[in-house]
Amino acid sequence: MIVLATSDKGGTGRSVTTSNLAYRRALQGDDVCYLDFDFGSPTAGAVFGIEAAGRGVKTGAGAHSYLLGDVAEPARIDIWRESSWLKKERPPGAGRLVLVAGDEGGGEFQVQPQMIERCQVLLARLTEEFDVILVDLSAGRSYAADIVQGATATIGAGTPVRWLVFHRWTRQHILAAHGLVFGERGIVQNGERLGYTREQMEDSIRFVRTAVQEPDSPQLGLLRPTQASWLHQCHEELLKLAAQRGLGRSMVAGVIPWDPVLQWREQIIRDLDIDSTQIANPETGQAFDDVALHLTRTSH
Amino acid sequence: MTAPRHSTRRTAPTAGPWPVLLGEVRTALLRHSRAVGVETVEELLELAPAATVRLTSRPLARGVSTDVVEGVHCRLPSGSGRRVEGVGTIVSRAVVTGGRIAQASSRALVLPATAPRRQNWSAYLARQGIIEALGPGGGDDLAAGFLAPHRPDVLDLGAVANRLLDRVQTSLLLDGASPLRTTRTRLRFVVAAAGSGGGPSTPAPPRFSVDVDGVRTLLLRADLHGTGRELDGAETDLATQVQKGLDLAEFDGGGAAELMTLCEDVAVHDWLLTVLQRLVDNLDEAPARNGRIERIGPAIEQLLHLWMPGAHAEPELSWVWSALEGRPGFSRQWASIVARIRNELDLSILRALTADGGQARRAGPAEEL
Repeated sequence: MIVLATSDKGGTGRSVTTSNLAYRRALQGDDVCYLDFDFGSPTAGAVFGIEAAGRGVKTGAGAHSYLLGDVAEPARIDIWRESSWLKKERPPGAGRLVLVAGDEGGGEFQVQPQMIERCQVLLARLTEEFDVILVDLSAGRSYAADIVQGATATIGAGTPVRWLVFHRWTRQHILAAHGLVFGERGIVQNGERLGYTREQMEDSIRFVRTAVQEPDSPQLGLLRPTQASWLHQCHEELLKLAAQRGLGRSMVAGVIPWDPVLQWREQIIRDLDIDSTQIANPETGQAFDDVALHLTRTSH
Repeated sequence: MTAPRHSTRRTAPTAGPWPVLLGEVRTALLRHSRAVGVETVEELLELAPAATVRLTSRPLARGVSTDVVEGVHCRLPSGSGRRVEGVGTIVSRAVVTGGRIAQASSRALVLPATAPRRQNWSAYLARQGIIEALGPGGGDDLAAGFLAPHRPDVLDLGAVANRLLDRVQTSLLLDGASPLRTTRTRLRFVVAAAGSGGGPSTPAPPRFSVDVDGVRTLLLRADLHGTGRELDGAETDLATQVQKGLDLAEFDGGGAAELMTLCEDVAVHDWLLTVLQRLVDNLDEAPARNGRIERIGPAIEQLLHLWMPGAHAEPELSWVWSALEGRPGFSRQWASIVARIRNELDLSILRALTADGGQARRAGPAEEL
């Protein structure tokens, strides 16, 4: 399965959430590849704690160079072994976890037909090896997104393609996410141009709400009653807006609660961070686990 | 970091015997939900319009594409880092075995140049799969360089093979729904001329090894003549013979294609071992135990019956398989894996049965009431 991760705007926590999903899914036993296609800011290396690829690789063998045709195959990094957060070996029962990093100083580029072909070849190779390939795209519409969407259109019906659209839980973000998916030249329309039906496209797209503070969460216990009731009202309004804009419950793959670790140090949240040092909230780990487990679920 | 495990590497290159056959095979599971039929194999391997695909059905279905020839002019590998240019062509082909395993292989037979300067392309194109080496160094130096970790800007047979494999794997005839995840394997092989000293009696045993990067290496000494002519010895001799009008096409056809088939066969079996070994290696790791036993299912259904070492090898090359069965012992490892799978299945059936039995016993008295 190929999972395309995108977001309406920057700062939604798309990369950090996607990285955590990759980590959790691998722990659940699948072979997982994280493909960093956020060419403007390939930061997955930093999130996974891989120093040599903190802002993309410097060797000129990243995903960006590959698409440009500079290398025959992009470099791969074994996250279990290389990550400074982890124990330098694959945990028992876990699948493989591999990063195909971007290039430092990559940047955007114009789409050329050969790039779509190269991208298709890369994805086909990766689907031979990995159960789940998470492709991290940049925020909003990008050339990278066009290339990947073009490449997945002919990858073969046996390889399901899903979209995860990350957005924060605010009015502006809901509207922007709606535009990105359902708007003019949005993901659905692009898909229709590539030969998918509207139903197929809508079936393949799910939203992930990030940094959500539910009104009844214990973190908000210190609010004054007036604040609490106002917050409740806002939340209700957002739920209504989301439902109207096609981002309602049936379209949601998960809700990631606000978490200090994700805000201040974008990183993989390990069980150790929840149980021992307790810097991260158990709800966050649970949310990642749930979304990761249900990635392959077709209908909700 | 990744020192190769072979011992042929020399710091001071000598002339070494020519010619040397270099090649690389990439092996993968066909990106399809099940084994494909003969017609599909034929269509998959029809790399050019109306190109002939050779199909065999016994003892195991196998399709081989026509040869794809590509011209190259690039630096050749060298164990001592010497600058040796190569001009000529490489030959690649795609293979599908049992409707299930896809391969692409590329090879080139390297000879010392017949003329001190580069000739017209037509001269090279007429001799498919032959590269002329322009520069110092012998066959041993070339082989050592080829088996060492790949360096950029040097002849890359693996990349050529990989591209051809991509072409097969991205075909619209395939549904992309492979039932299990497998890694492509890389097998590099070097066949050096059997040298004049050894005589025809006992060939040196083949050497097969897996290095740190997962690259498999097969090193053979074989009769590269094919035509029965003596071609070993110093490069000047060969150059003279070539100038005398040695039929190089016949020379290549006499051995390289058969050796290629042999190496593809070795690669298929090494791949099968790699895939199955990985499945059983992780079997007893706790969290996903049940899921992992389920994952063996497709391998049992679709791969176990493909084990048939030497099925397509020429009789005169059967000694290579015999030697490989002795060391590293392909079939011994296979038998052990298959036994392990059977045991695990028996155990899982037993577990399922006893679990059911337990429930039935508990349910029993309730029914009586």
